[in-house]
Amino acid sequence: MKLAKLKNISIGIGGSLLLVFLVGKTQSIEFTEHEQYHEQLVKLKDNYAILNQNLLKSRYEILTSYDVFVKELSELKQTQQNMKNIPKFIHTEGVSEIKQLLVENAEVIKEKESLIERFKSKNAILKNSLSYLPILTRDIGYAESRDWYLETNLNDLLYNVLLYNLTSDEKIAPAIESQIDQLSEMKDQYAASDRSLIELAIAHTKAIILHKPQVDALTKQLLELPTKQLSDLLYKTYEHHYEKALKTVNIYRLYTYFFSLLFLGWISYLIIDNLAKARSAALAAAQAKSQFLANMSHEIRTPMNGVLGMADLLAKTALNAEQQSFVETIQVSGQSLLTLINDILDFSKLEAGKMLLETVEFDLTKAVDNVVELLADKAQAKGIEVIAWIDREVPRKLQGDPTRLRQILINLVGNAIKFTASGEVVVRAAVNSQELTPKSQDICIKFAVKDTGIGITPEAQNKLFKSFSQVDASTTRQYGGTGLGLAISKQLVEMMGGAIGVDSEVGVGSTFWFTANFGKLSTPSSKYVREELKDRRLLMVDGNATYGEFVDYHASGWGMEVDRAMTAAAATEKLLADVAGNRPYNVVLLDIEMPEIDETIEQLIDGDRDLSQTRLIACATRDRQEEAKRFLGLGFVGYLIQPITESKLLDSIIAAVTGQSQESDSLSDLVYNSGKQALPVSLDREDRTLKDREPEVKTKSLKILLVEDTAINRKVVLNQLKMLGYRADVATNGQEALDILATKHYDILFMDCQMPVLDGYSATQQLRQREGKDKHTIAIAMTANAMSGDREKCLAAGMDDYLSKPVDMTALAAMLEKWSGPSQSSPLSVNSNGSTSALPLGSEPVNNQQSTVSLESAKSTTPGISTDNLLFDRDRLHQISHGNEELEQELLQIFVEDTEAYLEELKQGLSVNDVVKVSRQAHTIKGASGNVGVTSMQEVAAELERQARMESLEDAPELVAELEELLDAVRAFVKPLAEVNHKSPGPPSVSPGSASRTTRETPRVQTHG
Amino acid sequence: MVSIDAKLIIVKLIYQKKRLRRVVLLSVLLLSMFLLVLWQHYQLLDPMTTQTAESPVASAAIDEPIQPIPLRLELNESKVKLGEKLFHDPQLSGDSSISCASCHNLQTGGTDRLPRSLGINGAVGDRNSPTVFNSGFNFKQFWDGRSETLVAQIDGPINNPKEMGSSWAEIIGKLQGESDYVYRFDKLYPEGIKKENIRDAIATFVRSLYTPNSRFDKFLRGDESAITEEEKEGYRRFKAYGCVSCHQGMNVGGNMFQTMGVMADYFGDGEDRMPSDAGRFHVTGNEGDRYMFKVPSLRNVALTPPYFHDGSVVTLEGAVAIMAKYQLGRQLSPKDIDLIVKFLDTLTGEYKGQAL
Repeated sequence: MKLAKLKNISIGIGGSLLLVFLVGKTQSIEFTEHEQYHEQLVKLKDNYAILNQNLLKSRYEILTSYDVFVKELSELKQTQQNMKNIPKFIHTEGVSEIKQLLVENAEVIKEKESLIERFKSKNAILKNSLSYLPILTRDIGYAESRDWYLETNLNDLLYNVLLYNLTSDEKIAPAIESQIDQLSEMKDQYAASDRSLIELAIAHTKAIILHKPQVDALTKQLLELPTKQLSDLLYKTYEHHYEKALKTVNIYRLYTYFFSLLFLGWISYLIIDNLAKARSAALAAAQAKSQFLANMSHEIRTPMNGVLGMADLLAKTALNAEQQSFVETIQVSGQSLLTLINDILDFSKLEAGKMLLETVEFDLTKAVDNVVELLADKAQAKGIEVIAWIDREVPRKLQGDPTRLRQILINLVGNAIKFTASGEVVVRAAVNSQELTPKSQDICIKFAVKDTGIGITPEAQNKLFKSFSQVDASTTRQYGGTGLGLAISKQLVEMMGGAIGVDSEVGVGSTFWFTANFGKLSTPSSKYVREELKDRRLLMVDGNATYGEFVDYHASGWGMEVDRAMTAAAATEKLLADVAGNRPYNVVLLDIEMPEIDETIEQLIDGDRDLSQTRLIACATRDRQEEAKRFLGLGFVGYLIQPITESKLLDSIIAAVTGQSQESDSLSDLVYNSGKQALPVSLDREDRTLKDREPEVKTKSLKILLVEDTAINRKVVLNQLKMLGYRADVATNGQEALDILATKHYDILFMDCQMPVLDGYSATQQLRQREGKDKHTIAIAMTANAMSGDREKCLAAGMDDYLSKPVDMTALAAMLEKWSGPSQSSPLSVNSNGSTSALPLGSEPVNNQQSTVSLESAKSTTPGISTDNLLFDRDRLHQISHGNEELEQELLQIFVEDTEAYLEELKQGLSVNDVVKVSRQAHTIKGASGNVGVTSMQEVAAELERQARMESLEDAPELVAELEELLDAVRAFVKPLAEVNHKSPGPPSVSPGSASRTTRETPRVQTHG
Repeated sequence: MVSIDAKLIIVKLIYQKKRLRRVVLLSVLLLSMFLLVLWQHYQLLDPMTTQTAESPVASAAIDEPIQPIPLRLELNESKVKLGEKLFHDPQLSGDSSISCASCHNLQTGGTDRLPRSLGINGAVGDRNSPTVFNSGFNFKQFWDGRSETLVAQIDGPINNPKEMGSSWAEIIGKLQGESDYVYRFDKLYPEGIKKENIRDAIATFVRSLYTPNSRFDKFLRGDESAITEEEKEGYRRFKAYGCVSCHQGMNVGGNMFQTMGVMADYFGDGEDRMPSDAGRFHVTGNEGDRYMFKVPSLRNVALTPPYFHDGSVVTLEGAVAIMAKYQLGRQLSPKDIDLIVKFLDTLTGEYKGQAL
């Protein structure tokens, strides 16, 4: 952490420095500096040009002053001086080049200056003589002793001198010199004054002849100095190097852009990284909180069970009326508290992301009807009709989590009933055509729960699905509830890939709807049209329009002709008409609670109607059930207790049409079922043990062989079998099993799949080979690989059925029940509900004995879910031991010892990278820990096994360490648990919380059954 | 519920973590740097404003060989003042007896009117002191032009044992003893009293010793009545006889070298000659430069006798005659000389608005 921070800081500083360096590089060209230097270069050229121009001007006497030379020369020197400050951005190479040129330039300037100085002096003399010679000639001409010869000579001389000055013809010079000689000879002829003039003329001529070539030579030299070339070269050289510097700067600029982007990117990464870390920290904190809440809820439930259990026991003792009322209050309060806790538990599990949905096959009709039946009492108490209406198009066999679907529906329907004073609540399921999922295997179903209740304002609708939020505080007071129901439903719906919402109008009612995705079964659902009902006529006599529609919809769907009568009078009329038209109704559904219906009934029964054609079915609410029964003796073939569900309707109509009387099993089953299932759903998750149930020591003659290598698993299953009234022999591996089987006959074989020496698959295969067609020992696989593919693997190996570990007692019982029938020797095909471990509550018509089992099943499905985040599942442990703490202790002890050995093996395997060994040991630990309910270890071991199978042992050491840690925790738990249990009051036979539920609900079962 | 908590925690973390804030700050800084570079790049893409077109050569006024002195020069007044004080300060000489002004008396035309000046301890200099007036316009300093600039020139008399016989270290020591100097130097120059700064101040002062607005300059500027007809005739002859060949330009001379004795041997005509007569030969060592001297300015020439490098001629007329003989190779009539001298008189200008 610190190192990373240091690294980041150093990268930051390094990057910044680099960036500053790069930016500095891009700044290296000073444009004013460049412009100044450029100006100097231009000036140098100018100065040289001006000098040369003026030189010529001066030579040909156009220029009369030398100030220009002085000025230009001094400027030249200044320029030269200035140019020594070569801009810094020029490369060293360029600098030396320019310096070299400047040295040359300095020499040229020096040369130029000295030549100009000489030029000025000589030129002044030349100019003086040239201007004086004509005057002198004229003066001599004007002299008193005027001599034409002398004058001619002087004029010739002047002519030649002037010509000589203007041309570069050197031939003139000798001519002039001969003229001078001539004059020198002549001068003596003249007077002294003339002579001196002549001498003067000769002197000036000589001066001209002497200085003119000099001045010309100087001019030539001056003009030939390579000033232009030099200044041009300087200019070009500088420009070249400037361009070069510019190019370099541009490259640096490019680097700067690129690096800046890189740097910004890095910083963005840092920020995002920081945010991500902060986010995950925050989420972890939130999750920890949820986890804590889940744990707490769980911990609270245990004492709650104690309270409720004791209250139940107390209620059964002899109490006076006042005491009875107190106990009831305790029970009711405790119950609602438990519901609340369960809600919180669910909610926190959802928040913690610990909620897992199962995917099992289920019947949608049953799931929905179930909910309606469950809440029927409550609804009828308020006089509300509850109708479960599933569209024909909706496939009935689906794959998904029926328990959670029921939970959502119960929530919504419960709310609807709660907030509806009168009217009806319709639960409708339809295929959500708008959201057809692309996968053909999935189907989106939209459920809508419509009520005629108080309605919800739009503002309140927004808050509805938030946690702990009800419409308002007063609602809470009036209607009660935790406000968690909708929040839980929302999350569950989202887990199912759907959405939830509400449409509502205040005073009119609300429609809560949600969508959910389910897996469609590949086998096409059975035809909706029922052959036995086709073209049969049905008359529905009911005052409730919705009910009428509901029956109409389904019955027409089954192929019946449906007529409806809303009043008794209309019904009478229709019945008369149908007799007249000679098309009697096959079935008449009659609401016996309708006003004036008795008359109609009388007519029907007492009239001269041919009742052999028309079957009458009475419809009644539950309170009028006895009355409805009364009708059975009056020509009615059956009665339907509201709420009328699709399945009930179908069953009763089929029963009526096929001529079965009311005594027929199906109908009574129907009634029985509806009563039995009217349990509050909270029961589903209720903690109960089997303790209150008398351990049925049946005379079980089944011969069972348990093949299991892990001691703890053996112990658990043996104990479970014992509890169910069976005894079993034991083999520790496949080979041993085969040996035993060779000598002894067994009815049922429980076969662990992964075992040393010979595994379950191979053992079964060998057994089957040995048995041939004559014999068939039922082999049931037990494996902790709760994968769908494992079942197929087991069946392929020749096994008959499959139990997933940890072995659930209910499932074990069901399995034994299933295979202990007369079909012992006949290989039964595994039916579609073969996965008994996920048996939904009351999903199948079961007999009395099995109903007990299914109650357990309902209970036992939950612990695995509710406590998977704990060290171990105490419920599971309780279940195995039937509350026998000593046994629990023993089990855990064995578990700890065994697992130590397995872990040792595992570590050995790990040290030599033996993937197979690691995988096997992990598997064993997974099975063992699952069996005694040490779910935490089960999970870790499962992960380890998974990874080992994929031959990836990278995380293995970590997972092993985790396992060891957990094992230590279990070990530490063994003793404290014992102590606590010894202190715990009450006889061990009374397990907290359980009895109440059953004792309260069982009477109803008995009444209706 | 939980998700809201999580958001809150994140928000808190963001605002509490200084590190994060610093990172954000840094990125903003970087972004601005990036934008700066981008902006500069954009500027660079602008077409360069520096054009390489040749500027037309300024045409010199060719109407007259002599140009008027500018009426005003832009100079740092404080430096001029400081230079003036230094110019008159005898502390600059070895024995604190003489100042620059001792030989270049501004009251007497910027010279001491002696054939050769007297230095410290009565030493006699090698050549005649030239006037300091308008010396800033001269192309080089000293008779032999051995100094390029006024600034460089100052070292000469300061160090010359026959002149001020001092050294910079000595002078600086003396000046630092005077709080006024310390104060004034500190105000003008960051480094305070220093050789370069003393020279700069004095040179600036000397540059301020220009004498514009002479009658002849007024004439040149178009005032026909500024000089008399005779003086105009003198100017005509000055030009016609060839004087103007050397004495031209703004300073009427002072912009070239010329051999003393072009048409006749000045130094060969008797009289004791001095080694310093070799002139520019001392500087360059070229035989061609023997007897070569800087052509002196004729500005205020009427006020600066005696004349020539050796101060051998006391009157202007004499000087004109000698120049005509040795330089122009002719005999001038007294009339010519008179007229030319009259013209030369019109070259006397004004200093600080007052006629010299």
